[in-house]
Amino acid sequence: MSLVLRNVLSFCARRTALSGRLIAQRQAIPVRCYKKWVLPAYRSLYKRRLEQGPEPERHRSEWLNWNYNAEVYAFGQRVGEDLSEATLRTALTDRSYVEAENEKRKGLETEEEDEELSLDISHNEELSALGEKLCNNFVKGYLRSTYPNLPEEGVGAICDFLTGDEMLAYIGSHLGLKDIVLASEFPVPDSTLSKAFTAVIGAIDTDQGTERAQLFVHDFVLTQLIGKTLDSMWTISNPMGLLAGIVAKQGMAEPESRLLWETGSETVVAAYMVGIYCNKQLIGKAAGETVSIAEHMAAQNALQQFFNFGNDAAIHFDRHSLTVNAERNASIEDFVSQDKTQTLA
Amino acid sequence: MAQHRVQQWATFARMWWLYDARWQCPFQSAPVIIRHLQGLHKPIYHPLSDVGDHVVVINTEHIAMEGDLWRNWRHFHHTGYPGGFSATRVWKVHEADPTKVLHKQIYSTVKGNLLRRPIMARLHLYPDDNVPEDILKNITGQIRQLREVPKRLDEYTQDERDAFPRLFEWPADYVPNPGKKTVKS
Repeated sequence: MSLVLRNVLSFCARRTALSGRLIAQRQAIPVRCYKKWVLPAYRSLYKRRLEQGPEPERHRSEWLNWNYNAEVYAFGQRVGEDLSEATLRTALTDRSYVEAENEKRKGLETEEEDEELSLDISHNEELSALGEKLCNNFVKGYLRSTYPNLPEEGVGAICDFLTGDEMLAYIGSHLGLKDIVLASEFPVPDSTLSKAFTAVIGAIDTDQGTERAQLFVHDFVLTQLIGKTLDSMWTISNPMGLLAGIVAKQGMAEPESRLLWETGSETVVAAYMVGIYCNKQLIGKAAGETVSIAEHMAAQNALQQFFNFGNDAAIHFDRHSLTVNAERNASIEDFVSQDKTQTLA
Repeated sequence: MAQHRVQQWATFARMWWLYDARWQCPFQSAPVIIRHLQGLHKPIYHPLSDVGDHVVVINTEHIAMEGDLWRNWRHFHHTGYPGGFSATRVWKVHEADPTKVLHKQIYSTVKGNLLRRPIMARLHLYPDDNVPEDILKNITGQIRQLREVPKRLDEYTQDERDAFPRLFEWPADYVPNPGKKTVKS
């Protein structure tokens, strides 16, 4: 055994013995007094923490083990698309970042007068415009082919909901865009995130083709429809009026709302269930805290059933080819009979 | 998500049930009432969640007891002090408070956990059919009686009694045999 190894071993043995003795001592000597400073000290720390306020959100790159290249590569793998690194980097670079970097570099002095210091990287404006157009067209076309009975206004409202900044930023941040988007401000605003997300769609379109991009939109954007009701995306101000107009157009009798059941009407938690009948057929029903709320909801429910908007019909995961309908669905005016159009207001 | 909100509201709405205790056995009625009070009839039931309904019981002074139970069944009480035990015959308890027998029976049948008090708060007992208007307005369901209340002979009119089919007429001078009289000691 070498001398060095022997020394190390003996040192370790001594350390173990010493720490064992320390533990034994700590167990042997009980607490001798009540430390009066502990509670005031903790109180003071707590108060200082409250005065300081919450920690400001910091970018992940402020920690030491940040590796942007690895993160970008991981994002590409996570998305599951075969994207070139240059396209991906362009898609993740916001215009504000390029402008801010150039502004910073203007102030720097160079040894040679001619040398250009401005940053030579491209931003994602073009890819974003491409992706946004593709996303909008595909979502609308897909909704039209899935819900042929839904009026064009409803298709537009659902498309706005799905492709709005808020929703795209939500999807993008859950894919991990928040950390790897290059933008001048932090926390990254929703508009920047949504732009980066549409740019990723555009990047897939340029590198992999339109069909892959459409599948990406189908998998990540359209799946947000699951569990949503029509009224959460499309606000109809007067659903009962619209229903009456639609029913009149079909040559059916006027819709009639009836109370199916109620309970605890003298309490603060009263519940009413209203059903809407047409030609003695139940066409929609919903509950509510008051009769008027229940009737409103029942009319919306009837409309949802009439437009054939069911949650189960939203997404077909086993669908191999995506059918897209470029032709517009019928407008809401076409659904309603002429003498009832004023009720829509 | 307003549709989901009202769906949730309807799911957790508490129903108000009416139960007529006339000529019903309190021992057999208690489990049926408790089923509704605890919400055991609902698909969302869980023993730790308070999802039960309200039950309004009327005519509790007309409950029926089997055999000699009015005399033999006793309610026990202990004040906590030495010699503080007392036992009262149930007919005496019923005379003092006509809702007490059913209340005690239901209370003792519910499991003794933290939910027992809220469950009992949803039980509304009335000795007769005089129920306050605001309670009556809430009621929208009825629990079926365990025993059908039979119609007494004096509730039939004379015409109905005369129209009742009979195989033969008793002779005018016939005196029916009352049988052997049994005297309980």
